[in-house]
Amino acid sequence: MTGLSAIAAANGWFITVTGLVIVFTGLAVLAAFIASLDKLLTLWDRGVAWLRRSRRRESSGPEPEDLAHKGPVSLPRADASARSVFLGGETLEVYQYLQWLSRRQGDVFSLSRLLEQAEKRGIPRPHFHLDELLALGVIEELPGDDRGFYRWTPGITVQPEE
Amino acid sequence: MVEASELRQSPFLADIPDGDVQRLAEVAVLVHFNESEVIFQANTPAKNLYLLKSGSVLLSFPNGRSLVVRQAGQALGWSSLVSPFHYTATAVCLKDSVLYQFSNAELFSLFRMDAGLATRITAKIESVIQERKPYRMPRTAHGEGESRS
Repeated sequence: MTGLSAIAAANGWFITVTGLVIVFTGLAVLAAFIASLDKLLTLWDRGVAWLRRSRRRESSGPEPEDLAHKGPVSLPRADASARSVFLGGETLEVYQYLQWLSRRQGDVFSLSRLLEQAEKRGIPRPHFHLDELLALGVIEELPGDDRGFYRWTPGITVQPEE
Repeated sequence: MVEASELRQSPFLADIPDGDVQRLAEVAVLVHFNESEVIFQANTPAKNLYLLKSGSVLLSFPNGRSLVVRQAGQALGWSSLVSPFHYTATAVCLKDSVLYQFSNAELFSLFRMDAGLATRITAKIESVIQERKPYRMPRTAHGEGESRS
């Protein structure tokens, strides 16, 4: 027996189709895995970040929530141009925490070091909130020789947004 | 490559002739960075010049000083055009940002072909260098006295 009948007799067609199905299924699974790799890696990164945050919180400083629960804070420095700034939930928490962290540097602080410390302590989105505080004028740059260093703007009262 | 009309809107290139903007647009690449992402690190080889399109970037100098760049058209990474071609600051995004990126190799190729363009861009870069000079100054006695860690 030769030719197509030989292939049919030895289950050749079935084996061919099975082989094709196996190969294409494998390729489809591989493609799906590669397509979702970015999502898997994002999940992995979030897991690692969460673990790091929880470890750091165990060993350092008060929780942002604890500081936020202390309520509105009037900055201690008196100034004629007093005004109020209203901050939303998370920004207010981060504001409280950043104030606490900046005190370690003194009245005048370095933004890069403040960010570094905030990141080490797992403060949520410190870059975004710092930008917001700068844009709102809660933090101001010093003039003259101290250009590039910052302070909490005197006379600003921060209040929770209603 | 980006649209010349898009690049034309950048204040940095406001007084640059259309032909030059067209040539710059041909070598520009639009790049997106996420919040907290580092665009470049201080003291690393400077290979790209950036113009901010949107967003907010913190330039941190090794002496502890920082500058917030949030105005569209502001230049970042001028060190890519000036010897010894090492960034003098670290640029990190405070929020999601979009920038035009220019490879210094491409820019130098353009400059070799067009001395006028080289002169105009160099003058722009020179003013940025002067503007940011105070940020590169060492800390004063006032700064030294504080417990910056």
